[in-house]
Amino acid sequence: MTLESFARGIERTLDALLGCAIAVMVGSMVWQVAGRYVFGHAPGWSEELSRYLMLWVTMLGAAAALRSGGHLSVTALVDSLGARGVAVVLALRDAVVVIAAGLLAWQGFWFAELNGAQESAAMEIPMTVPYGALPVGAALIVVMVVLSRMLSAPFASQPASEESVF
Amino acid sequence: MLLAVILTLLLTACLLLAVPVGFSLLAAGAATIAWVGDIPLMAVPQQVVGGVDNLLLLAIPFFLLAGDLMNSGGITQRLLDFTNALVGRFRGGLALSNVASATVMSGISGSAVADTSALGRVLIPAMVKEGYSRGFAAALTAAANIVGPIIPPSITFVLIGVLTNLSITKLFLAGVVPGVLYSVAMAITAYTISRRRGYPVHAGASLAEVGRAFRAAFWALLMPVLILTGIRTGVFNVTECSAIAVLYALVVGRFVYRELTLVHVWQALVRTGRATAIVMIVLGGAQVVAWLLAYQNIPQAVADWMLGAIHYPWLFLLTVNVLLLLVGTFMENGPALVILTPVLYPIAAKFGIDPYHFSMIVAVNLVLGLITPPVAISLSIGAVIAGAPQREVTREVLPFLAAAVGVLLLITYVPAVSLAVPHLLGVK
Repeated sequence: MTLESFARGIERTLDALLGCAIAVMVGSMVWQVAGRYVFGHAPGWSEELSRYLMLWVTMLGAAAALRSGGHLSVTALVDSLGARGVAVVLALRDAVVVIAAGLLAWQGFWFAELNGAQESAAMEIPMTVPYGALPVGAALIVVMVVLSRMLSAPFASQPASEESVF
Repeated sequence: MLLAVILTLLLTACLLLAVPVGFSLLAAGAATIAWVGDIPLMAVPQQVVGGVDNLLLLAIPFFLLAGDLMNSGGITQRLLDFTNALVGRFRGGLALSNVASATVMSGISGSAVADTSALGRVLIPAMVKEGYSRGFAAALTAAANIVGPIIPPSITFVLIGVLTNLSITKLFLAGVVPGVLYSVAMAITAYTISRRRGYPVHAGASLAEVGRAFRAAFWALLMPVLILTGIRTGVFNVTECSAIAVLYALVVGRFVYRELTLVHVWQALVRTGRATAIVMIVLGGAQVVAWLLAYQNIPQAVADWMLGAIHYPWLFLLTVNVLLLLVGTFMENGPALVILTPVLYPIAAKFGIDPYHFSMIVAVNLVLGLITPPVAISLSIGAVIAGAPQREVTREVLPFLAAAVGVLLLITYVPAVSLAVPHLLGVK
């Protein structure tokens, strides 16, 4: 297996998880409305499940979207530099992303650990389950940056992301 | 204050290095926390969770998905057929149809950027074929579509509601008149320019044809009405309403228009997942920075300073307009809101400005940033679709910007524009 297909495999897997998570989120909120109006009482778990899934979607999606240039960046400086300058800036950029995501993974791990004894209000699952999204997702972000470096294809920087929601 | 300076310098440095906005906020926030020294670094993951884990924010992926499904489900073409039949007979018919379809689309989706690319892909090539200049087509599409976040449903208002504890329902209702006014201003500008340049009439349509086009677009036109009625009557809360909107889009696309396939649905789900992640990671990062500033009482200090320097409400509103236009030009709306809300809302309250009225000013200012050069996402998307040079698009957007600023001043100094509808409907 080549490195590129390995990276793509990770992204495909993450995309599949994202799609499923969003579907479950919609389903559980619709179920909540149906529960209230059809069965007379709303389930207690639906809101909590959707919120926790969104935390996972945030972290896994941030890793999945990295290489395709989904994230918003300011490209004014990069656009005005020559090839060598761009290479230097992108190397610095990747270092900053790795350090920020690495810190989030490291501190997120201890944060999830610390809350492990606590249970969620509705589903009564350990808080490690939702908070685990931080170390897992942030570690995957580090992996994706490193993979893009090893493939000598630094992830794209684009000012006009169509994925911006505003 | 030294902390604010260091934070700003770090953030600027990260942004210039093209570090994605969310990671820039995270990195600058974390580095400043490390520099302060007495705050544990665990505040970083804690605040990221705090910024993302919110029931109301669930409305963001759901409204995005509903809009996406409506697009894949064949709504765009039907909507355009309807607006073409309605206003195509006038001079600059396609330009007017562009504004009209953007206005209706904004009642279905909550996002200006998504609308610009969905409608622009169909309208811009059609306009160029009829002889409109590429720059004009791109500038008009971008300018017309930023009405998306002003007319409900609106992702910007969901975020404002989350940050300020204002009622999202009332924010939605307050946005209706400012949004329609904005579209009217765009239509007048487009019509005036079209007349002067002799842009063509699209096609006349008989009353029967208008009726047929209306029936074809009916189920899509009904969606904004359902959304507003649902939350206004309290049948659903905003989050539930956004989920029901997804269900509605699924049913209309699959069973009424019969264009939505399982593959479309799956692609829309994945796209929504990624888009959600991109906005949420930025919100999470912004929350770290906002929390750090609040921890050091900086919003309070800035508010005190502004209150000391500015003595009149009208001057404050003018200052806010200039400040937000500048911020909206250089910053994404999400982080701008998270960071500025704690500073601006308390001052507005001290001046006795209604928070819902104030929210309209904030929102319109920030969305204008999407079409204000140099950093204008919507303009760039329009330019890419049209294949027009950025410089030409920038020149062509100026009359629309001028009209938009006129509307902004009207919204700023006439509170009734924002408050009449919620007042008439008796929404508290």
